[in-house]
Amino acid sequence: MASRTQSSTIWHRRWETALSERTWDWISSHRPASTGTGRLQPLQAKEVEGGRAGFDELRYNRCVDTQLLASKITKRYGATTILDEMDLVVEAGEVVALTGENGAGKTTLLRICAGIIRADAGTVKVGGRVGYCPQIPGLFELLTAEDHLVMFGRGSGLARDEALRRGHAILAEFDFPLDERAVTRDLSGGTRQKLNLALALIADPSLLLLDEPYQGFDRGSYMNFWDHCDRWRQDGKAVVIVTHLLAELNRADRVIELAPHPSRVRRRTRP
Amino acid sequence: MNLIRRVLILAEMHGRDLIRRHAALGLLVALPLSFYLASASSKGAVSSGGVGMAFAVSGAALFSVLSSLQVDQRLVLAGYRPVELLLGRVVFLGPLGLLISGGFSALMAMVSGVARPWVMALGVAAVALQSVAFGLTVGALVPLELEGTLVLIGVIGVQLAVDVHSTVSKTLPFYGPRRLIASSLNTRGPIIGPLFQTFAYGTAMLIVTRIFISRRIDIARHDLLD
Repeated sequence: MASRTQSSTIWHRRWETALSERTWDWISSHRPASTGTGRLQPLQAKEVEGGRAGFDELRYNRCVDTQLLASKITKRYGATTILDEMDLVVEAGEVVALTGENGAGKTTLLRICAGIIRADAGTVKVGGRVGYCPQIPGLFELLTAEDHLVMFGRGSGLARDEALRRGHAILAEFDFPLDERAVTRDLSGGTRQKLNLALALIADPSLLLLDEPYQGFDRGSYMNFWDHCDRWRQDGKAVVIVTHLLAELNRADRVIELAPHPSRVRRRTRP
Repeated sequence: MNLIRRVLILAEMHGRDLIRRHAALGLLVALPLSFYLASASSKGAVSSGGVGMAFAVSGAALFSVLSSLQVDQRLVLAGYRPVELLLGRVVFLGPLGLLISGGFSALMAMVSGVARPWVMALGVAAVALQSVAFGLTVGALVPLELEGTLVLIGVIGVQLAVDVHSTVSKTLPFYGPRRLIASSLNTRGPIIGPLFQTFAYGTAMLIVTRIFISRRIDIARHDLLD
């Protein structure tokens, strides 16, 4: 295993060993054509070359059910590089936490994976339907939770009744006050966030991209959220969570710490 | 069929959202009314009422875009197409504008005693529909609240200020409806031409809106893994 760089703190629940050279060769020969023809490298090797701390031990094994394959993702805003040839692979039944300081590119990477913004370079492939929960709930202020369920459900092809049935079931799991008929403007921050999460889940996605989904949750709801992560894992969903909170992170299968691109660090420390 | 259902759901939700904004609903009616009543004794009262209607309906259309910028992209991610979001707004705001214009036309026909009331009703309805397209276009081109509002006020204000037959007036979106209203004040005057101008300008604005909204809220559809 290549040495860990800078401040990456990684837990591995299921895969404790690095992939062998032979495995990487096999993986490289089986990767989709659209991701390039070069030999796929464990990310640590690339990190050393690029001088960037970040992902640890990129795993790309077509024997398992890959749900997200982001390859060589690059994103710049003007002269500022946010992401530089980033790779991320997430399998079904895997919970991955993305951590890192502000400006490291966690949300940008997640939004690129969701399709909300486009990368300057690189490719993203997904295994099925994507559920995306943004950091700031994108809700209509004067619609109720049920209105949102119906609207988002219809977008996913669900009939009104089915959308309400599914939505109520998800909201009940999150202890959402179902008897509450208030419009979202009058809901507490945590309750809005529960609705936000439910909208990401209503279409039963196989890949969940969650950007600090527990904003405003109390302690009990936060613990409950991680219980749900366990359940999603058992259901075979792939889950990527952008998070700042360290509590309960050991419940993720992998924790990937992103560091800001060196160009940003240099700019910040310039006298 | 599926497209219609999806558009109708969006229209329904825009309706629910607006109906809960009681003050906004009141202002939608009060604004054209105040414009009209303020100049009811003058010759240009009907035109002023039309301008008030343009402000009210295009303002509602503008804010229906600006207040849901964040939600729109998420709705596209949920499966809607940008054009469905646009149609959802048109399907709701269009009939709403026609409803307001109908009541307003009846009032003006009774109070002002125009020569051809049905042409005036047609003109006010054209103002309402053109305002929907105009508000959506401004929202798509200038997706910032202050800037968008100023553009809206500026264009409608210039349309009111300049002579109806001036070159500037002919380039602005309410030229056709204004000609219709002017025709209603006399026993003679063009109808088909202004109607066509309104339709052509409105369609062009909706196409521009479609292009710019798509650019802003469309998402990257990722390829599926083998």
